Amino acid sequence: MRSKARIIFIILILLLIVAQFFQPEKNSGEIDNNDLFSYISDIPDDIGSIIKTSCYDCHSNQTNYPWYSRISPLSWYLNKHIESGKHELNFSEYGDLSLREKLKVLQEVCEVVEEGSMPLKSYLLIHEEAKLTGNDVELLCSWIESESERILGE
Amino acid sequence: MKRKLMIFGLAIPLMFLGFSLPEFYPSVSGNVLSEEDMIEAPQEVMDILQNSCVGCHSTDSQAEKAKKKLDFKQWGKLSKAKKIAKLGAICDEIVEGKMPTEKFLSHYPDKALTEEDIDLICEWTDSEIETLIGSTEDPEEEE
Repeated sequence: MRSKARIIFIILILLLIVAQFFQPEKNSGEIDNNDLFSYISDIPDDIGSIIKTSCYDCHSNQTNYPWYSRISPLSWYLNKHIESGKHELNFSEYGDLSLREKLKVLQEVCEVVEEGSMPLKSYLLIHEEAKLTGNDVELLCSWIESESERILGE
Repeated sequence: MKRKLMIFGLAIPLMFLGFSLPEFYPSVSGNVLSEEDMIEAPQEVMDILQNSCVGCHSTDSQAEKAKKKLDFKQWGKLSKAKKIAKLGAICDEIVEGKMPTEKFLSHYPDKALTEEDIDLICEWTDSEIETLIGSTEDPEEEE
């Protein structure tokens, strides 16, 4: 009985080691003029900091990978988040959006942070610094409102 | 025995009084002026909206999440930027099949949107957006 359990354990360890040779592609792509911070030259520091800290890992071309995030199969799970995050909204391609798309995206950003569905709870478990306070949400939504008016009036 | 009867006798009319309170009839106690903020659209679009959307997406709906996201009866109160954002979202949600919700359609399958309905609404949202954008822009500029 005991040696059976030991064999299974060893097999699992071996599988885990082999798994490390199969990693998803790292999300460290191009940051060009379309990136939010290049496109909007005057984002207030506090807003920029909130967006970078709480959003950019999933919603841009530049994810920060702490060492534990590179362990397969966890890395695949995280990659899924990043892929669907970027699909939904990619700040690195913000400049490419049409006016109407920008307005829509900005409005939705405010909504999801207000309702607390973003950042993801699972992300916040590991990244406490990404948690948005009530004040953060207010700041963000307020900036979004004025930015929306600004681009509409351009 | 007499006291019990008295209490019971009082309780029933009180119940009736309670149930007649405005909270139970939100559509009656709703803002009388809400008519002017109601969305306006061509009749065929309004028909679809009334049939498949306004039930949840209005001020008197019980669906809290829905009316927070979009309330057609408060449309007039939205800023231009928000209107444009919402119009875009309306088309996207129905094209992606996310709206009306599956739950809603399981109760009201006849309120499902046909391809034609979706096309009609998206055409309308498109032209509304153009109008809204155009009304702030310099006539010489293009989007």
